[in-house]
Amino acid sequence: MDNPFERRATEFLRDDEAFLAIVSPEPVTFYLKKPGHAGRLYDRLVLMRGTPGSGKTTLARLFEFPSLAALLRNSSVSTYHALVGALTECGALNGEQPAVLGCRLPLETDYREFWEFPYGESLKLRLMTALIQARAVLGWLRHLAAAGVAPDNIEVVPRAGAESIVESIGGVKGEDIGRRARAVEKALYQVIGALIAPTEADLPPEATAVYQPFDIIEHVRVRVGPEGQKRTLELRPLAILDDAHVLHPEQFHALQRWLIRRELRIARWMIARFDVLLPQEALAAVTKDLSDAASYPGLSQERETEVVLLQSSGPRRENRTNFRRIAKDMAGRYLRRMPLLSARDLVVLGDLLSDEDPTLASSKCRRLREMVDAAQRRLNVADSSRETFERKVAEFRVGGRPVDEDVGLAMVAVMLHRYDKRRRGPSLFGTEYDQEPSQPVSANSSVYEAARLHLLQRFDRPFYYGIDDLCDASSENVEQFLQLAAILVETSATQIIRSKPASLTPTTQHQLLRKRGEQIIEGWNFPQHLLVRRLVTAIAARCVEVTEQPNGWLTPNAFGILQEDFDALPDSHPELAHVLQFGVAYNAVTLVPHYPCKRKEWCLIELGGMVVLKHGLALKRGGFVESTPQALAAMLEDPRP
Amino acid sequence: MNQEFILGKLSEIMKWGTDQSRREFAWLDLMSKMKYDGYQDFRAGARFVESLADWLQQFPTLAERETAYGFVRKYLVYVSPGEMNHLVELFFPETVQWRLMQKAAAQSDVPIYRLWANTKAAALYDRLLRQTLFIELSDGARIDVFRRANAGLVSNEQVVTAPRINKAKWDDLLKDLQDDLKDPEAQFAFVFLVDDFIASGTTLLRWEKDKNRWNGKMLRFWDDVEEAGVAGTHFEPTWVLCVHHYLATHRARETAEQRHAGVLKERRDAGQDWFERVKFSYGMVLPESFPVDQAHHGEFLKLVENYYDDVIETKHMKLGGEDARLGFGKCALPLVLEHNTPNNSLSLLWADTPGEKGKHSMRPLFRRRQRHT
Amino acid sequence: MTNLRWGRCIYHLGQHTDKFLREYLSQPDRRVLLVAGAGFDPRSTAVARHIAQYADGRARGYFVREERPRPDAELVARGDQNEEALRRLLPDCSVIRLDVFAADNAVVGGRTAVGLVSDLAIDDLTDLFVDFSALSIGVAFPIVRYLLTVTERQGLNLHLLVAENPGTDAEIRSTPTDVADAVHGFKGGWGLDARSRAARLWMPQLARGKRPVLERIRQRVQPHAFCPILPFPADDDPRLPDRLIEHYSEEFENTWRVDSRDIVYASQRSPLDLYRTILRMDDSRKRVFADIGGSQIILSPVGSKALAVGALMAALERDFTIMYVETLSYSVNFAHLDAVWGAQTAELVHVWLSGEAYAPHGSREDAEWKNSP
Repeated sequence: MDNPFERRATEFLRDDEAFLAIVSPEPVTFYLKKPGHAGRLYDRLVLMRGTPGSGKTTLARLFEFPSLAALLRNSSVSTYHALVGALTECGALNGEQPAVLGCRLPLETDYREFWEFPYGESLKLRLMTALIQARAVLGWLRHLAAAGVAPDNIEVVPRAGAESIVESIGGVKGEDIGRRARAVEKALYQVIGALIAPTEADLPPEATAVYQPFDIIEHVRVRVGPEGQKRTLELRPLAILDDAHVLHPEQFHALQRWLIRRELRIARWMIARFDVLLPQEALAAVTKDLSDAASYPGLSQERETEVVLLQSSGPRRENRTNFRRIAKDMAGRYLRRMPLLSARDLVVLGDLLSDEDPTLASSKCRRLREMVDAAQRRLNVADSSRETFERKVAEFRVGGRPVDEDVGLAMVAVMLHRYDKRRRGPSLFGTEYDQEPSQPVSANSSVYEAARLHLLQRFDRPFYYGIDDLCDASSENVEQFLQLAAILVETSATQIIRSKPASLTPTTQHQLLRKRGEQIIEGWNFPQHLLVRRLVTAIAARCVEVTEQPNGWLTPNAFGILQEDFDALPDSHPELAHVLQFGVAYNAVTLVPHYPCKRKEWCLIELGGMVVLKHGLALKRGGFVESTPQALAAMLEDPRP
Repeated sequence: MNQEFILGKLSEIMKWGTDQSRREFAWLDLMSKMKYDGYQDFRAGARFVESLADWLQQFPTLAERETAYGFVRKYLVYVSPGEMNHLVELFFPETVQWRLMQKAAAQSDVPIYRLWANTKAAALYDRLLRQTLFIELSDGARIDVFRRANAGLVSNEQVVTAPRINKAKWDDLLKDLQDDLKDPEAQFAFVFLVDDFIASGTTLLRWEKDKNRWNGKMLRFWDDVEEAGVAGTHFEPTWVLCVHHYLATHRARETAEQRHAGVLKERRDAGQDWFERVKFSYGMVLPESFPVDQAHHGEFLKLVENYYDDVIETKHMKLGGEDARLGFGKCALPLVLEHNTPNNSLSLLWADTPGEKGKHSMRPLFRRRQRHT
Repeated sequence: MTNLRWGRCIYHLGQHTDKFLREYLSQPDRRVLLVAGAGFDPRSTAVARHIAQYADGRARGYFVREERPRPDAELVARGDQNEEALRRLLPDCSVIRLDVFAADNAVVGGRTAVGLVSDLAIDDLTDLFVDFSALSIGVAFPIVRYLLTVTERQGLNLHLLVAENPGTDAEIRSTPTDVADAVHGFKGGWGLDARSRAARLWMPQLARGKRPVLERIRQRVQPHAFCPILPFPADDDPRLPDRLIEHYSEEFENTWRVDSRDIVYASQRSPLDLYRTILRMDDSRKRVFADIGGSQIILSPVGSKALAVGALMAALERDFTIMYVETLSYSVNFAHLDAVWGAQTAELVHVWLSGEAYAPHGSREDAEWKNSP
């Protein structure tokens, strides 16, 4: 069945307007407003490092010229207002005009190839930077052409003092610099494409000639508008070098040093994923706010480089709220493309996902009541205390409503155990039962959450249902959201075909989501996936154990290790660090560094949504089991997968 | 989306729950689009899923329907136009070229791998190629597809669409050949008889007990050549008859050669002539395990046994005390070709009967068009 | 299709390969170099065995051990055994260890391999055989591209051989790295500004278990059109295309949005079939897109090795882009693998890429004939 949710998000996002409609302005503001406002985004090297899923590429694409142009085209549409505001704040837009001419250049393997060549370091760097520059120039011209700017309306403005060498880039006219860039690209392409690299002497002259447009170009001046009403725009060229982690680490550093130079006038960003760098840097990058020092004579890294650290764990609460908004919006757009549903005006995904609380069958409820009774007897809790708990539960409200009978019973069970624990805890008086604990046991959201998880673990009572759970289970990842939503939407469509209601019961949603989570994990096939699977399975198993504790003191979905231990991980436990890198890269886990708890600083290894679903853990964040690198490393050991 | 309505009905017929419906709908929808809906005998409004719903309803119990559906889902083989055309495209480069290369190399006395490098041998190959005729034995041979695929290699004058050729046609063909080669002595060196499918070999060659003689397409071709009296004049003395089928059963591959040997011997004993050099070839041979058998498909064969109407039997079969449950020649094939279902396939797949005189009214999944050969 | 470089190609399948090798290599003046993989794959030694037997004392070996990070001990042990066996078969040999990945996980195997092979002394040889059976395409393709240039220049014969055994392929699980990239030497203009407006047609070769790899490639290629390649005919399994369609149902329906007419069929055994099909498609697309940005075909041979050879030949001729994802590690259930390997015999596929089979004039053999009495 044609199900757009099964299509990858990238398909949909090829269209600039569709892309912009689902981009949240918050990360732009959160990460870039301050440096943008201070002008630090465009006058020096900006080094962005981010975990996978932190939206690096989305951010990069936003600053590309076609996106800015599309935004301005639609600036009257309210959907885009916030984004226009955010981009204006960081200086990418200037009133009604774009201020930068951004071009994203993925540093794909072409550039890494130079490292394998039998030339001296400086020549290798020169060849690589020539290719980068040629392609950036071509990218800028391509973007302008796509925006309808003809080459003869494009002119580069060289920086002061560079007028004399402007011929080396073909001149100042758009057409000429394009021609030159193409020739340089072609010559270098032949070098990297050659089966055997030519000797230094055999390198084509176009490849080795001086070609430094980044050193020369200060602005790009374009004439836009209809004939007779032409106006001139001065754009600051921006080269966004994405996926810089593909470079060899030494290449990476060499390029970084090259880009730091003050002579460069163009804006340049270098974006890298952290996990393929050398282990020492890799994990450090995500936890420290400063990257490694790239020393360059006479330059201070901190002053000359703007480091932006993007993390999927960034502004966590906002992220989740935002993600829910984005996901719902996107789902609506996708639903409108499904005739079966849109014909019935079913275009709000939330409407298909009933979140009416399910209740256990009466037989199960009876068994539950018996279990609570038995617990009371075993714990020797007086009836009056239990009545107090029951009263508190009856008064407890979720979204303004009282809880169902089964949840109420499970809450009482949790409270009985908490009560028991508290009165036994610090007491020195031995077996004197039913002595009131110092702190009264209350019916709160933690008891409620634990009770529902207990019902999930013991009776498989639906736990994951409703649109918000769906969003939260996606680990803030659009692809994962679509994958999860796809099965729900398809099932809803199936029900319609079978003349059943379109809306899915919590039970159906819960079962489908859990199964899908399991399938996705089973389908993992990324580097180290076997060990990643083993690690998360072991973490999840322990989290289940803790969750099942009758007093429900903790509903964890993460392990925490001390931040200092985590920082040492690449050296102390390189294999574990390696496995974690891929776990993070493929959303199996999320790292939450510098998490304060009990007056210590922790790094949380939070299980990804699919793992949470599969094992039946809490979606709420923050609960973690204290652990150590040793314990984690032991989880990787036999039985071998 | 018309498909949805019938899918809903099908899930009723099969009593599928939501989860199974979702899985089956996905499969049905995809396979209808990719393959089954291309069946030539489906009509507007009653394509694969509709036919499937109709077909399944002839089985009264859910268990039987499940068996029947499971069979379609797992075992039925449907050869799509794309697949069949591909077998046609393979015919020249993988079969014809190879045969001609062997002969050209042998005649030039060079190893076959030296053929293209050897100017004389390569020229001989080109000549032999022109001395080749392609004759379709039925419209299943898709000679039009063959022509298109080999435009520039095989000329239109080498391709004969009518299975029966009279003297005048033979003369035309020969004249074209001689004109093309600018050689008034040129004769044909190869004839390829081409057909789409061979299951039992009966259509090609069969012993007719009542008439006490061999019959079949090969025999008819022999008769044509004899009748026209062209054997000595239009063909080189060492000409080769090649019989090519795009698709064959394992059994047919065995029997075709045997029957040919049988004819040869029988006719020689009777002092009659027969093709001296015959080569059989196949684009694809279905595996030996392909026919439906008791060991693997016991449950489905019960349906084949029980839901049957003998009105489909020919006089011929009845004489032999045979029935058509397993299809013609008891081939028991789970096979459907996009332009028609072979009569050698299980009759439960294709038979369409009124069910008179208290017999079961068989409903076809892939209605078979009778084709006269 | 006469304008194809290998439209008239010398190639052999199955028993014909064996016959060819026996006759050809027995010629006392054949001096042979076999380039092959010495890996854990049971197919590692199949070709060497033939060559050692038929060209006894006249064959050298050049065996590549592809090294990947953190290999399983059993894989290493099997590799050792096969290396030992190869050394016994062709004692005049060298074994080189090739790191497929650099320390930073960049794929460097292809480039390194070409560098190593370029140092080979081949002046005394008549024939070079590259055995694909146990080489990964990231290593084998660049080697062949390089050797093709060299052998053409020096007038040597270049052959490809594959021990084809789909069952074995199915038992070898690979974990891909996370970067999709062009095979070294097969960029085919990928990424050039001049190609930025080209219509990209991606032709992934479908096989089970390759969904994650193909998804990675798709993300990189971002094609405008998809023509998946399905193995047909596949003699043993007429339902193989159907099962692959089902296996890739999500892709067919949603990600790739395949129309049934976009499916490309390729004979599982014959590399030449796929080669011809790809070039035919290129011919028609070139015309369509000539004035509107051009056409770019991207191939991803991830399935059977015989088909990979077909894709290689097409790419060699027209400089197509070959996108692939290198394997980071393999995991094999050797009990299963040994059972499969024991049960099926590997079919040897031979393709003669260049040399005396095609020399138009004045070839070695012609000269010998002229000089012979």
